[in-house]
Amino acid sequence: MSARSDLIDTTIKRFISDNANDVTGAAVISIDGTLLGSSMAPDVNPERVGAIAATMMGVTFRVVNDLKIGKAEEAIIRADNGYLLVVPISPQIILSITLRLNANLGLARMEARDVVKALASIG
Amino acid sequence: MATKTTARPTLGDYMSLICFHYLRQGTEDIAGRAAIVAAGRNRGSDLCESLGLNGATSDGAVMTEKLYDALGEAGTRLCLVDSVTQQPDGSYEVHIHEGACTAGVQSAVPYCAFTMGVFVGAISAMTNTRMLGREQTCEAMNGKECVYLIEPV
Repeated sequence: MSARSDLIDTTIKRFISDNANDVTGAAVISIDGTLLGSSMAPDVNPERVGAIAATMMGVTFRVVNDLKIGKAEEAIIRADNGYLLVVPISPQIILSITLRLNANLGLARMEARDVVKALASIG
Repeated sequence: MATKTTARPTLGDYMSLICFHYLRQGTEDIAGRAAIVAAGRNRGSDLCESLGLNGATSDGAVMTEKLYDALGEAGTRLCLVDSVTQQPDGSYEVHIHEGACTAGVQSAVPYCAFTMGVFVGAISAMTNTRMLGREQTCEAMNGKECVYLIEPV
């Protein structure tokens, strides 16, 4: 793995470890769906999740643009056993985070903003 | 043809680029580029698996030959593969022309989302290395060919 890839993986793992009560997994993905780094449950296919999360962000950008409601900041899906949060890191890279159902969503979103800044500095 | 099927006894395996472009552009307009690139990656990966090429080579010349046969005039006619060349840093430079994505298309930005995805998937599969693709030159931007840089993540 490249130094950049190692840094991404280390940053993701630290984020999950620091927020273990809320966060169950995370992935950094290019806007065309290529996985750049991830730490997810073993029964999840990270490549597939990467493509889906990037598509979810693509749809979000289009909805926001067509409805003329400003700039997309995040997309959230709530399921009966957790959440998926997708946040842009840069115009070319996004962060996907899975959260427990009982997660403190407000706190997790603040923590997500911090890790987005850290990941953005990796480039 | 390399992928001859009996699914359509009258019409055979091929359809018009017109329909392909509606499918591709319509999907991209709604869902963005990722869905198209992902479809291409899956195609490239599955193609290599079907040809027994998973983890089989990192040699650009071998890739050129295999992908020319599979995707070119005697294959599925996605594009004509001119060369796949391994660079010293482990990346690959791919040169193609007559790509299905760009046929008859004028664009201000690179337009080979599906075709490039196929090469990302195929080269990832052949080298057992996760790859990321960037299009450097595109026929849709009046280039004479399409050139992709496919590099390890």
